[in-house]
Amino acid sequence: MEDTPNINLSPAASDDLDDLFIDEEEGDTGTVKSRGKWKVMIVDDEPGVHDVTLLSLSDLVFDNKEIDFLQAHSGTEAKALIEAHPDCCIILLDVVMETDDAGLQVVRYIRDELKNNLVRIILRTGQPGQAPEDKVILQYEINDYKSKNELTKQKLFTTIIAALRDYRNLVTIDGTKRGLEQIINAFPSMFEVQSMEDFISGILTQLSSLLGCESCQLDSSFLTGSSSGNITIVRGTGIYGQYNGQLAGTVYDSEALELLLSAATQQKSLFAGNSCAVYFKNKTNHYNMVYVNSNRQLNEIDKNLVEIFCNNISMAFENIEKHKIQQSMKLAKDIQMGMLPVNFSDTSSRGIDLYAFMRPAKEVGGDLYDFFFIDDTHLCFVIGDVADKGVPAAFFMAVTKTLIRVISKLYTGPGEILRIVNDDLCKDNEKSMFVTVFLGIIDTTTGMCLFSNGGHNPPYIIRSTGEIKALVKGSTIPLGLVEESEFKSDEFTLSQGDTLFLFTDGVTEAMDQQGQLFDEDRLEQLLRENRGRASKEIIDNTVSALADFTIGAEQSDDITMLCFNWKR
Amino acid sequence: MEIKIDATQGPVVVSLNGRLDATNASAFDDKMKEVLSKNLGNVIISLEELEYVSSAGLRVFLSSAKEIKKTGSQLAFAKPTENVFKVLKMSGMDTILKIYDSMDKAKGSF
Repeated sequence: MEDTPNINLSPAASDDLDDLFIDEEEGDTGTVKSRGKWKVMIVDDEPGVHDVTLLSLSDLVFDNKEIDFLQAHSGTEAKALIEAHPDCCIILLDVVMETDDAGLQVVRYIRDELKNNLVRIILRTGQPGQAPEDKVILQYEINDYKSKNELTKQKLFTTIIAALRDYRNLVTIDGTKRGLEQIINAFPSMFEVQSMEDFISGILTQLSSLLGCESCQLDSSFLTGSSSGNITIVRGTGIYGQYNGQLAGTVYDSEALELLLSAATQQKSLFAGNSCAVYFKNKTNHYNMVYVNSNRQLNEIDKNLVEIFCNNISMAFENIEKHKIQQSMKLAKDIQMGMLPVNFSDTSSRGIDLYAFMRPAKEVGGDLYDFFFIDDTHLCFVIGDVADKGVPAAFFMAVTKTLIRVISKLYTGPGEILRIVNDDLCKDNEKSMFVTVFLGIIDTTTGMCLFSNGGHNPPYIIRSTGEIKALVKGSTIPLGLVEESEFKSDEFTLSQGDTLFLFTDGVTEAMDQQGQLFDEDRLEQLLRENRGRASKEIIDNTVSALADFTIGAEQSDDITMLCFNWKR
Repeated sequence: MEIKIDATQGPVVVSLNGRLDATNASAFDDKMKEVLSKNLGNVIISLEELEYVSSAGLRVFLSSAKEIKKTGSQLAFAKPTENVFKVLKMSGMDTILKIYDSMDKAKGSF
């Protein structure tokens, strides 16, 4: 692209933009101080219960963080305290206080009024008669029910650790989801802006909200650099707000400069502790970077989100330059292709000869594939198909894929992973989109494979003996349709030389000029003929068979395949 | 595949025959959208003469079922052939779509 923007802006900062960041800078120092601790609230009208609880849990450390106790002695106090501390992780809640159901009223208040669904509520009652367990756990959104005499020091310890673990996982998932929603919501508006100034403001605002949190301080700046070596600040926020137009070398400390220069040299985004330097490709001899400095450590989720964001932003520059947005299909394609792993060497070094292929249709669908190691010996592989086309489908695909990556690290069973991904996709799914997903986890040392199938075309197992069969068992409905669906886990074992072939219906429903479908029979025949070959060869041969079959016809759906041989 | 629509009395009956796959799924989708946009009340899709349905067809079933829910009406499926019922069951669709083995039962379900 010859006419990629050469960003050369007057350093006029928008007031609106600056306003946005003033609040964040001031922050609430009270909250900042207690970051790095788990907030646990004790609600009980008996002072003795407070004392015992403090004594039992005072030395508890989980994930290198201690507990910060909040104490309330009535339902009314508890309501005020949770409202002031929305980041409270656990509430140990008495039932009978100023009224017989004061505790239950607190539960209602937290879940229905404050809409806080993250805090784990453990009901502790001394009079189970007032709040029978069966009735309460069904009627109120609590997470655990204990009678007071049941909670010995050891039991209390275990209960708290389990609840903290739950809370941590929920926050991780919630954070990913919210970040992705922001990205999704950001893109349409970012493509409507008419000027480069707006666009840069948009990038900084989006990145800040992506990496920010309520009590975070965040400073960011947008830079431009050229092959001659000069890096200039185009626009800054927070402490960088006053340096528009200045050379980076005169503004940043040596640590920040080093990060920026490394990012520029390596031409990729880099993370270091609290900071990141985001590199945007640019096809002229200019490039752009965004430097963000937070007062909290940037974590894996942040990195994932920033990468998704940046993978998609560089092409937006071209569109802004032309002041017209006709290329939403290209955007969809870029999103889709940008998210696919293409490095197959990691798997081959561990005994798995894996290869995958995707060719988007002109009107992009939402196919996805993914594979990654969960630990040293377990490879997770995924194929899926979003039931829609264009940019929305591509984003839904991106959300699905990222959720799967995050949740696979927290849960181990394929059925459980799909169940949680499904629940998350169902929430706020206004566009009624759904996605078929096949997810497997293979033990690379034994060939044993657990899988769960959410409505996807059954993959084929091609045995080294020549037997070929579709893996039809265990299929349930696609993801995104029905909340709280169960997804079954099933298993099979591969022997030496066996092959697993996964595909989307773009393969079996590829059409020739007469409107005939490629169909399962042709695919099975092809797989039979290619038995024993390397995964890349199998896929390449399928691709060329499809090309021969569909010659002269337009490709109507994405074509995606993932294939691997175990210990070939 | 032919799509016949009978909206003369009672629930709208949409009858399909032949094969429902990627070649005609979008035409069927357009037809369903057109029917649903008229807000004619409950709809039955008759599968009696449908020999084959692919995943592209299943998607239209699902999106129609989701779409009609918003209008407060319901969608039922009547008399699937053995082949089509196998596909519905294999994909778990039988758990979320209302499928009946006779037209009368489908009509009686609303």
